[in-house]
Amino acid sequence: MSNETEEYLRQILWYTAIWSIIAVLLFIFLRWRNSRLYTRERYEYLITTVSDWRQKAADPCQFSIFGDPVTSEGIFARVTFYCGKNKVANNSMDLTVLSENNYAALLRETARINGFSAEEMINTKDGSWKCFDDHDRINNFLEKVKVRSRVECFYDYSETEIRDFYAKN
Amino acid sequence: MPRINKFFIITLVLVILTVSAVLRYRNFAVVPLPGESTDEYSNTWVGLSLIQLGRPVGRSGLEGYKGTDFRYINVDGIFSTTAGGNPLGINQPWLDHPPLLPLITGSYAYVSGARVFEDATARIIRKPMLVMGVFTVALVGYLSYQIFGTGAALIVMALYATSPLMVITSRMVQGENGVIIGFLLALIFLYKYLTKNRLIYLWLAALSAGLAVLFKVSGVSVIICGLFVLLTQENKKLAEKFREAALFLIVSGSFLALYFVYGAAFGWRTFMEVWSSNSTRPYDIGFGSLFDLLTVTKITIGKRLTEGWPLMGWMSLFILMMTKSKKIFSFVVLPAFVYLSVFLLMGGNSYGWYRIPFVPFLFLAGGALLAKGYRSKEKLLPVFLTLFPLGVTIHKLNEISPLSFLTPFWRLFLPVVILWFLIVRNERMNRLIYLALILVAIGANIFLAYSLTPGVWLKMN
Repeated sequence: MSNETEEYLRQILWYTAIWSIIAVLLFIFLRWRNSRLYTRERYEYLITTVSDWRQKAADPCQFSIFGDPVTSEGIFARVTFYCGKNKVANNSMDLTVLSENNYAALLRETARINGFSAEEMINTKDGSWKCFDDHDRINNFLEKVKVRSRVECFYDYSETEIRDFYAKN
Repeated sequence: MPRINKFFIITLVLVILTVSAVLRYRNFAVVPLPGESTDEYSNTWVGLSLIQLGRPVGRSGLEGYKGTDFRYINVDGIFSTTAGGNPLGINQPWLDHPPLLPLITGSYAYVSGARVFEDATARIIRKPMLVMGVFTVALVGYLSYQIFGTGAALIVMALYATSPLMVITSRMVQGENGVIIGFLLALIFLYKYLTKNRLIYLWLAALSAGLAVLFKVSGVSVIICGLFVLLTQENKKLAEKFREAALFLIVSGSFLALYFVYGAAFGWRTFMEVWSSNSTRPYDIGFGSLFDLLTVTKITIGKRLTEGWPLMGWMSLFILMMTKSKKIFSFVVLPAFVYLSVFLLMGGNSYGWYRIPFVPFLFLAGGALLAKGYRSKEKLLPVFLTLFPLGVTIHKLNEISPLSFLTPFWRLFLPVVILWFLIVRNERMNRLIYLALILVAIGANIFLAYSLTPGVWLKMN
């Protein structure tokens, strides 16, 4: 074996030895960090927390979720907000993303995505917001959402105005 | 080289790098529109989650993962604009590609204060890409200088720095923007090794090739290309060539092996299933893939930015293939064709960024022919090669604001220029006109790249 080949071989062996140490350390380090840091709660926090830097919606009609979720294979609902007589926001929501399948979770998730709070719609009893599913009033927000239903929430509409609205649409 | 000349060249290089930085920086957070490619966010999320969760989390779509978690992560408000109606399919551990780019953009996002996925906005995550983009311009220039000399290097750098297509694609958080850095570095060091024969350059070339693999698996093209270059050297014994190739392969290949160690740490079975589903991706680029590659300049899967320079580059590359220069073959033609083989083999989808690694070599070929044309008496071919990308750029500018006043001049300009270079043999005058033409083409590039605001972007195709 020539001197040059020996020199190459020596360098390759050194490199392989150092690489093996790095590889083992990397493997151990990654396993250790994964087992120490990963929890389901942290994961949820990372992907669901609304950024402080994101522009918050002034009202539920400022932003919308555009387009139908094709990947949901039909398991979706349309959520429409009527913020007074002149502002409307149409949203399409994949129901499989909900942790619980009910109207409250649907409205909360839509609100989280668009940057507002849905609590006023779900909890306020003064009737400023009125929500319907396929023209039927939602009285219990913990009821299951039907697939492809049309959930509509009206702000500042009287019962008569909503009835007239549905009669026309 | 006289000192004044050296000073002039350094100044020109600095001007080109500054222009490239300014063009890349302008509107970088809004063009391409945030969400046009959600992979940009996903690449950063992988890094951000590695830092915070100790596990890579990102969106994939590959079938190898069990249980995709569909979520709406409304970063940059993409669900109100570009994302379409589908929630993002989140997978963990995300093992589609090696994690170097995610670690770069994810670390930058973390240092900038991002703590949740929604914090990783385009304004933050594209900043490291700007630095990488300008660095790539410098590398393209340096490789061109090594192969063709100063004049060609300046032309190649100026064209690459101002090409609207490259200005836009270099902003995107896509692995290919890292692969080309590794590719160019590896070729620069290989060239140095072949000319200076110092072992350190072979090591640096191998490490650079390894770096390319850590950006994306398609970086294996750098290893294959390096092996070709080493094994086809002239005036060396076979044993010597094999020795060098073995060192190059072991060192660069060890980075790919490191990716396997990384995958094994998060679950060997998932890693292997992801790899096998990667290899069984549908051949979406279709039967017309080569024609499509040559004629269509894409940014994402659907969004195009028609530009003449890549086609001019392909034509130049084909012309250079006929030259007998080993240097040109090994460092311009070969890299493009090795990546072409990998592109066609792995090209599961016809995303625009898959084409990024071709572009430096296309500009190297095109710029070299333009520089050769400057020295040559026969200028008709390089003039033609400049006219058609220039025409496309002006056509794009015309889409932004109508240049109807220019139409009669352009109608005259084209035949006059062609006839001039066909008939007139005044070398000095021809050189001046030729240089002016190239400068106009670069100026048009700058004007178009500078004009690409979100409003203009939406109209462009």
